[in-house]
Amino acid sequence: MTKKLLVVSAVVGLLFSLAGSTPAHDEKKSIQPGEKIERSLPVDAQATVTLCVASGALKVRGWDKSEIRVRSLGAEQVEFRRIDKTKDTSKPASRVDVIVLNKTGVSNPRLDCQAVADVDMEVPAGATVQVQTRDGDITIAGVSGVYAGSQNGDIMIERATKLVEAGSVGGSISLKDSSGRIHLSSAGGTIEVLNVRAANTEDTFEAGTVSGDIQLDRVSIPKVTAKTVNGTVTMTGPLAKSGWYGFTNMTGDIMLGLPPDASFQLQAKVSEKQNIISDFKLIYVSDPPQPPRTPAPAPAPKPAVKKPLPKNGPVIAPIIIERQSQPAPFVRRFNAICGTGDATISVNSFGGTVRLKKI
Amino acid sequence: MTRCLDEARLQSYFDGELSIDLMESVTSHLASCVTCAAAARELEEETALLTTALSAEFEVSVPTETLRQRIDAAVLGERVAVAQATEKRSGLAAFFSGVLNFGTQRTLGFASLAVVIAFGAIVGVVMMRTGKQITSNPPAVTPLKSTDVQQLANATPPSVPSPTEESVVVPANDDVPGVRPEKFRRNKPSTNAVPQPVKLFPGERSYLQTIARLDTTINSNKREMRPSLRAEYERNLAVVDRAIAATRSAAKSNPNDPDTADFMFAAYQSKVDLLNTIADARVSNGPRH
Repeated sequence: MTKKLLVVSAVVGLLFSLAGSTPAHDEKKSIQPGEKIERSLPVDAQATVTLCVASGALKVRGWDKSEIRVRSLGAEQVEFRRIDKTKDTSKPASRVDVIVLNKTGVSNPRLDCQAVADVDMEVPAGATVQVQTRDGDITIAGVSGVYAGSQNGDIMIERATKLVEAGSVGGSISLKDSSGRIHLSSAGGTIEVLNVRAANTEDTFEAGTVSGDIQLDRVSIPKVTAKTVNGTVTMTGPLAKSGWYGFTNMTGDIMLGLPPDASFQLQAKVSEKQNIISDFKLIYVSDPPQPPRTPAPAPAPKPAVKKPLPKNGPVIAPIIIERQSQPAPFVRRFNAICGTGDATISVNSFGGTVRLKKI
Repeated sequence: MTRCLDEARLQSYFDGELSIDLMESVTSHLASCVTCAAAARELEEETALLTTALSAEFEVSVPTETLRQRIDAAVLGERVAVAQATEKRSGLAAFFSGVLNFGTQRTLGFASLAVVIAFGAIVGVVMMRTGKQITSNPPAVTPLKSTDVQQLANATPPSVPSPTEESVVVPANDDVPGVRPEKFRRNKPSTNAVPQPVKLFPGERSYLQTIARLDTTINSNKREMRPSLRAEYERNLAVVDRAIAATRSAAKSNPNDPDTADFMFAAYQSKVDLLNTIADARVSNGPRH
């Protein structure tokens, strides 16, 4: 009898202990519609976490815990799928997929990324998050790396420290107070960037749109590239010393607001119908030697057209470089220097006006 | 221009019936759309075939005046004969008798008239399709700019593009708006009706191939594109296509200015980037990988 009691007690104790160590996704309980569901999982401090829904707002925040916590309103099930290669499950996960489902039951791969739900998630501050939604907005703050994609929603990112890659088809992208390598693209939305700096010397910044505007404020990264087809490019703030800034557009204007003591070389290509308006005192220099082009242009059958070079020498600011009256190539090239020429600004504008303003 | 061209638009393009803006737009579209380029090539070959087949009729002058005089004389002679035969009949009976009297000469006259009308109808239909003028005078040619002359002088001789060659077929003298394509000129030998491949810039072909592949990828997805995505896609595609058309036109006008070509390639790259974005969006809502 005593032995039986001991065995029963041991079995009951074992069951309780097993219940306490069950992973989060096994903590199934009846979720009522509209009820907030919450799950958590210990992870590595630099884990990579992916989250994907079809529609819904996604908010991700970095915190100082080595743990993921997911809360969702609208989802009926949240699971963690550990996808790191390690066999040692006692270690915290380094790669985790967060599965959000609208229908309870056995996880169906075809239902992945098909949920319609708003999701809030906390991740370790050193984590890299990969977040994707179709229609909702994405808000991410205080993490190490960000990969974010949305078709129609807006993307807002703050305080990312190492890497940001964000893309949207119709939504806008906002990036603030971040550092590292940055790549932002939106087809029809605007891109706004404020106070971004390099985390290391090899970091680059790229922003591109088709019809959206690009607004850059205080971007201190050694290499900055902004391209748009129909949008306006605006950059304000000091230039990174020895930095390279490249701006290309087809029909929109390019406006650069720089400090009065800005020191830069200007390499501009504008169409013959457009102007460059500068508040800065620019000194023209001759064309620098051009690297070989790839692919090579077709050989010119007739004598090369002599490009009209502007006169060398100082120019009293403000200046307006107007279109030449004599026959000229469609694209005019200007090379000038301001101050000691620390940074390089390369401007290519096919159909817009280029403005250099003092701020 | 984002949608594929329908046959009517293509025919109007080949007939030179479009405005200059539309001509440029269609030219730009044909340069970037492999599907429409193939359709244009097919339509052009059909038209060339028709032109060749009917060249004999086009070359032979129609003896309109002679035939008309013979018919009039025959009809007049018939009327005189009928009048002499029925001069004593009543007026109404004489009228019906004259109308219903199909003598040999009258039958020949009606038959000749029918032949003339049928031939005139055929010529009219053909002319409506080719936009030809009946006059044998050469069509007025607008003065060529020096760059156009240079381009035309440098143009490769007409050749039939092989099926494997990814050349885009456009009218031979599309550089000169308002000038009708050479092959549709009535008095030109049929050998000139061979389509001529458009002159691509070095490196442009690879962009066109990439764009065609991406376009195929996007359209091969069986799922219907969501309206919001399609709207955004088409809006931005139109923006990019306009940029390509503008920069390409400038590059063609300034063949010795590599900077202009750089703008064109930048516009092409923007289109490639846009198509990549849309292709990604089309597959991004499946299970993550």
